Amino acid sequence: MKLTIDDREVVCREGQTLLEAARGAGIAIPSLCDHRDLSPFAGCRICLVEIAGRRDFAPSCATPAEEGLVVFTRTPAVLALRKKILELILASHPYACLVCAEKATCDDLKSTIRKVGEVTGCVLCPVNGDCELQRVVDEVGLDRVDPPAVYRDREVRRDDPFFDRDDNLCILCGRCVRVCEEVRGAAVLSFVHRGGRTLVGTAFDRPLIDSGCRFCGACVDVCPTAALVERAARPLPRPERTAPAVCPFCGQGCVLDLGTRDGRVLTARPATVAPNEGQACVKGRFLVRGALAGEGRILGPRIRRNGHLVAATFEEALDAAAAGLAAAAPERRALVYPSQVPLEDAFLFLEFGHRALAAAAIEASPAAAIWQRLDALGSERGIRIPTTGRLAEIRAARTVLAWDVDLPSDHPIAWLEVVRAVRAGARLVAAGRVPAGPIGAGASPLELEGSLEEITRALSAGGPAVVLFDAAAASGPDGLETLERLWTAALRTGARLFPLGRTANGRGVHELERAFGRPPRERAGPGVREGLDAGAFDALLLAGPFEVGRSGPGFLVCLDTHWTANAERADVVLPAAAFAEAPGTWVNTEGRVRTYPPAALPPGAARPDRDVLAGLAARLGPPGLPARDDAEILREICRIVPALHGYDPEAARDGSFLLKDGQAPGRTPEGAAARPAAPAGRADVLRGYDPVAANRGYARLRRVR
Amino acid sequence: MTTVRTHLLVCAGTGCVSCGAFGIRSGLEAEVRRRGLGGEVEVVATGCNGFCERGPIVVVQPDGVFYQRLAPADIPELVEEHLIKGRPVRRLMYVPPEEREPVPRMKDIPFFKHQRLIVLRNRGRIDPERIDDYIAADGYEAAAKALGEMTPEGIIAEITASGLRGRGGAGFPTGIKWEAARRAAGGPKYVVCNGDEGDPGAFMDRSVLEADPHSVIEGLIIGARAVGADRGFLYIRNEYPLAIDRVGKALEQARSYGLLGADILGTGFTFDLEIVRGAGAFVSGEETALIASIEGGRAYPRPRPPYPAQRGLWGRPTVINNVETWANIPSIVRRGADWFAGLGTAGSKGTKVFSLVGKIANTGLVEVPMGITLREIVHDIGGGVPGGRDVKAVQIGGPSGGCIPKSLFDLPIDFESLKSAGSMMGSGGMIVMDEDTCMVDIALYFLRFAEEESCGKCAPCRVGTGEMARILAKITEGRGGADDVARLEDLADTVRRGSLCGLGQTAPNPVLTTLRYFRDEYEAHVRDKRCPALVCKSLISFAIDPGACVGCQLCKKACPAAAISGEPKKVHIIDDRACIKCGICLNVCPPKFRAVRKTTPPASAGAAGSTAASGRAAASKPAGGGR
Repeated sequence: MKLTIDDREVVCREGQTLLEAARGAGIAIPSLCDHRDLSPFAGCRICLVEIAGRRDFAPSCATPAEEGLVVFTRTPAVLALRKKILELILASHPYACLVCAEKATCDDLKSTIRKVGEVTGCVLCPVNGDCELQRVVDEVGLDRVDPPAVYRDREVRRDDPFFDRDDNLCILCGRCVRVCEEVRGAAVLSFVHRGGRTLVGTAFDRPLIDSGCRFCGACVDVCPTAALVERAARPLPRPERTAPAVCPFCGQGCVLDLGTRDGRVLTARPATVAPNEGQACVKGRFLVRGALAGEGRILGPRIRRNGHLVAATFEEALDAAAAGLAAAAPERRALVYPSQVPLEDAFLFLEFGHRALAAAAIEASPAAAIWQRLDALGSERGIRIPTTGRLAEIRAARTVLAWDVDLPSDHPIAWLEVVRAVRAGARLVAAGRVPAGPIGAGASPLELEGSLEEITRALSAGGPAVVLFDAAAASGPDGLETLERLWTAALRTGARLFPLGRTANGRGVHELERAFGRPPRERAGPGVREGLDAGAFDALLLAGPFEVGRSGPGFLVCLDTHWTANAERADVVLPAAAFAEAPGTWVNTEGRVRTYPPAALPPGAARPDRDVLAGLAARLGPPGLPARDDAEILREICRIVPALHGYDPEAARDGSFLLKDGQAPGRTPEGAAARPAAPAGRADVLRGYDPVAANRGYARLRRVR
Repeated sequence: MTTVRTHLLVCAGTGCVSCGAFGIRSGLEAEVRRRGLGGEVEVVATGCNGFCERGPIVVVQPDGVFYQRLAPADIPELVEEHLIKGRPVRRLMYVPPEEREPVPRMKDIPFFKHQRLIVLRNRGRIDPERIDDYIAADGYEAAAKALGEMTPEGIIAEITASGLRGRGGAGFPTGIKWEAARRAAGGPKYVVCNGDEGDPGAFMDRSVLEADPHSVIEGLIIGARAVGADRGFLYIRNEYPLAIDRVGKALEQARSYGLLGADILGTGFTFDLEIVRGAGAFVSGEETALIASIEGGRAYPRPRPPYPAQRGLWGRPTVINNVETWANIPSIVRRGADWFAGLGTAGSKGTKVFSLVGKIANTGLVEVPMGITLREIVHDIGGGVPGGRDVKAVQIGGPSGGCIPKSLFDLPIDFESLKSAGSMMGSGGMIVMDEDTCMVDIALYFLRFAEEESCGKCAPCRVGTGEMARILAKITEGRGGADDVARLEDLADTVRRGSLCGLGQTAPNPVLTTLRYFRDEYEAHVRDKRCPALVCKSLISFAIDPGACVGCQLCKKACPAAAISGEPKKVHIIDDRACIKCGICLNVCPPKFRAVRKTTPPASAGAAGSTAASGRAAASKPAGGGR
């Protein structure tokens, strides 16, 4: 449709607001409460415009564009009113710096005093320079504020983990309230009180942690001021650059924009690309920095001498590791490699294990349980569940069946799509575990033992239906039977099945495993677990989370990012680069493939797995590993993995490449049962994560500050 | 069916109930039984009679005799004399002010004589808790007509032709609203009765709901039929327990009579109503906020368009009308659009219910035809200001309205005239103010109300009203600066044009109208540090007139601040520095002396000489105060 904005003809789509139409045409209208992911609020009144033929000024963020409308965004009356309204907004926000004559020159001089707890002006504010209110003040051109400042004088709330709430800076734009309810389905935040005493708070003013908050950080990300601000970022310098990386903490493969300075990650913000579209969860949003730079990182190689682990150079450690591994006969060597690493590293682990180490047992850890079970379903029952599908397809469903899966905790991004569907009127059916919060509270229950007919009935309520499940549904002795029931019900009703993997790149590594298969028959022994228990291995290269147990191998090399019980007892400890510190390709649970360069530098002496493996292979002698760069490795991977044929990392930056589904299943990994949860190590540092304990960690940080 | 010779209609509106109407009712019942009149005299508790000033009220029918300000002790005499001996009790009758002879019959009392009842047609006549009473008074005849004989288009055409406009405030034509909802795509559709009456001094909706709940229900049934709704809500503020109780009973009775529910009156039309109780936020009366509240959310308004008739409750087409609007519907359908359109002015048809409060002799609820003048309401019906003081202004429309000065009292009242006078019809609260009312103080009161009741969603209303109140407070405290009035006007403009909903957009009206009609009072406060009405404490002093004081020591003993000194039988003096301006001295000084005076500017202000002079000048009623 066509309309006229500021004497220009503007074309826009049906359903767009005036603000969207104007911005689409490059006409800037300042606004504060509007946000692209949220319903219009029309509360800040900054985006008011004049419409020919209408008596009142209209909030452009909430006024639908109409054919033939004549809109003026910059008449003298509009500009004057905007200034007046902005003055009123600023009257209850510490604004001194915003209208200070020296504001252009002051930042350079005072950039370090942002670290105080109480914010009374921009130069003391943690988001100074990154504040939407500052931007709008510039856009509107305010240079004085008439009403006297009213400081709300509310204590800064620091009793919750991860972020502070400073009511004194809040402009009541309601973005946090809306994102919490509309996008996250949590509705923890709400407006409280009224009139001039209106604030954002929780029910009965309880701490967030007692109000159902999951600390996803969405409210912090949408806050235009520093009313909500990440506590850990407060004392840190501002990042110099940002780079994308795939979050390693679960299988959904959120893209995070990592803010770095001097090669160190300082902040992590969800990127506005699929699948997470600007959202994250507590792990991706708040724990990345701590996981990369926090306590427990292995910073340098260690060699066990006289019973003690002592520091060594990388070369010494590699020599010692290679010597120890070589000392064991090939059929008495084993390799456990991490499944939560880029495809390139996983490929090199496999190649190293098969060729250089010629190990008898090679296993990824943690096992990609759901994908293995789906393979088993294919080989045992001849059933192939399509596994590649965009999570965004869930939002169009009219019925969502969550099969024994804790969506908000384990698959938060899939959950957001469920929230969206339910808010649009879809029915949520929960079998087994019921998601917490107001959305889950409205779910209809279904028995896990429910018959096929019951499942079919639940799915055939009309409209598209989806079934979400993860390894929990597929595990146990009845796992295959459950999958078969879901599959049959889906076949009858046309419902889509969404298997949800729980480990980062678990899906990609599973594809690689299928391409490689098990070690050659003649060397194939028992699995690593059984072999260790039976004393079948003399040397183990351990790079993934694994419970070595009491009866360890004679020689243990630990290649890891963090100190674990395994590393403590290892003969050689090698520091590995963590995610985002090495380039690589990741496949998420949707089958979406992405390759990113490293965003940060490994700390200390840590090196990417591929460099360590190359060093070990060289020392182990022929056949060794061929010398290849990352691009060549990726090409090789794409060659051997059919689902990756045609993958071009450059073209797929936008996340548009999905694994090719419908490929014949590879050889079935015999006896690949779902393993119990793996112990800590590698990207598993968040297992058993406790927000309260984490908060204590930050409290310590605060004391240091 | 038994017939009784006499009905005793006891007003059981909230006003009368709070001064003991239920006691009067049970007392009458007991006395009637005791005297053996049980078979021939029936005591009926009716809804609000309207003449709240005179409660508790009993009207004896069919005689039409009006008894007022009854006490339980009066009951035996009333029953003995009137019911047994047939001699009406003159001492319990109403005596108009300035007159000596009582007016026995209700229809002859000036308060009632000038009214025209449509919405309140059943007030004081029927028992609101008995549907049979309502049906006997032609109730549900209109619903039967609408459902049985009229098409939805026909109903809407009738309402449109009647010229009925929404009685909730802005006066939007009801027929057009209904038509928009009827045409709107998508369903289900809803009808909603807005009973969240929150204006200070307004109780029209409460009275209608209490006195005649079925008229509202019947209106909703007709409206639902017209727009195609099968579900409706009565949103009533929780501060109206009696209204909620009576509407609840009425709904049950209507259901049991087949007037609500499936297949109403055998016409195949299905419709039901439920009560939603408001949690006491003024803004809930704004229709989009009311929708949010019914939906279970915080009562936050949202921008329009889309209008509720297009996308209302749960995004569905919804007609929201106020109580009085709905109560008008049955009469219009029953008696025809022409009859209704014959009443009122060119642009505003029918009648309007006003609550008369403030400095007025006959506090109460009145229904008058549109186009009546304020003078008729205040003087002929309201009986003027008690105590012979002069009226200064009438505040109409609550916090959204404005003050209409005495000079405009001949203005025929309708939606347009009030708007052009800077006020608005609002829901119909009328607060009468006399010369002792400071207009700056009144503006401050309403702005504080607006600030307090602002929902907090949009900045102009949330912050702007507070800022206006702050400046007004400054002015009333004598700290007003030369540019403060200009800043007020500036802020008023920002709040009016920048606010999201009607509450904010109209919140500056009390300031704008008082500035328009009483600017001199503002200037007196700011420039001369005087409060001409002698209200603003910072700008007045209490002084004792040496010529009038007899030294009785009453004021000296009463003064809590020990600010008064003086020997017995000698002239007393008030120490202005110690005085806390509580006014007790003024109250205790015997009327025959009237020795305590208020003066402005205060004695402590300015140079001693000029203070004494102006203090004396202001000791009598100030000039220019009540223009």
